[in-house]
Amino acid sequence: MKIYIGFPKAHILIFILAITTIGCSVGANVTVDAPDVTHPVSQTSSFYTEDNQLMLPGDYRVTEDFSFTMYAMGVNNLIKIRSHKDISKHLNDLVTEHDADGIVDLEISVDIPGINGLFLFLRFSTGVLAVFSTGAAILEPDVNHIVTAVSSTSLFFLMPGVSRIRVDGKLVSIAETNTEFYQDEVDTEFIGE
Amino acid sequence: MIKTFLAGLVLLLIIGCEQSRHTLVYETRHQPIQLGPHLSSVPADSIGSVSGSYSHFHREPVESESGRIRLGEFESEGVDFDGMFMALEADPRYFISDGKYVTEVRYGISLFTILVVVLFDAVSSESANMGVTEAVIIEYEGTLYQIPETE
Repeated sequence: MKIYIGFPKAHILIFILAITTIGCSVGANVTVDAPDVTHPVSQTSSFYTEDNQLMLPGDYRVTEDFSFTMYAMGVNNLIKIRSHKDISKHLNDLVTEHDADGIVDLEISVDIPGINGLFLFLRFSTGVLAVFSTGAAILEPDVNHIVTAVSSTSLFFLMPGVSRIRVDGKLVSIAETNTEFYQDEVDTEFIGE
Repeated sequence: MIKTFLAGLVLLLIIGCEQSRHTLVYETRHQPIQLGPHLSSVPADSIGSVSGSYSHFHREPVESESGRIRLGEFESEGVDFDGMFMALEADPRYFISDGKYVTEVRYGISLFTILVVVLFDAVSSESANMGVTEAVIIEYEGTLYQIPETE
């Protein structure tokens, strides 16, 4: 028994691609870590030293606040491509440069920079091109239509997004002990008869 | 439990000019949450993995040209660090190290927005400005350690 669908297959394909195109987005997946830091890096106001001593706010002195921003691209659509940011070297350089003993109150902030608007526009444009070129490739399969369809569809699914990550923190030096030893000079004078 | 939850606070700061920035800030009194490894000649005992997550979703409204009509605005926020702070509460010698962040951002136009714009244009004499959708997800993963007792 034959079933007549009622629509040419090209129209169905275009409809499916159109539905996929609309409601599109760009984005980025980013992993941030610091596995190779050489000094304690704490996200709270306390940290453990190398000899397992707990340092609380009264035990150290904040020498410098720091902040740096980095951008990471990725793909976060049907296809996901994750990027990785290792901030170990950056943190190590900061500690070394300022002769600090560690970092406290480290904060990681994430936001969406405005350039994602451009990538969204580009994704939408390639999506529209993919829809029409795919339809054209189905109706008139020639090399140009097929190449355009494949490339635009690939671009559509691989359009990247950008994530902006900011790192803030405080460099600290462990306070010296308050005990000071004074060695008074004693003048000796022999008093004798 | 109350003590730890009082001691552990996740504060989310929303600042920035054109986009909102999302920050995770931890406050614990005596139990560090460290991003890097625990550097010590005497290793701490590993207890297990801990994790937490934060998510923020915002869909801008479809707004008429005159600004009088706003449709479809939606915002939601989710914070889940209970497990992490409950794990810290179990022992004052516990702390977290080997931290790692997995962040995800999305920026786009949702199908819902498209449909609202189409309906708006059909029933209203004014044109509509399409709003964008933003999503930020921050996941934190770390390892729970116990500092060895000092002799």
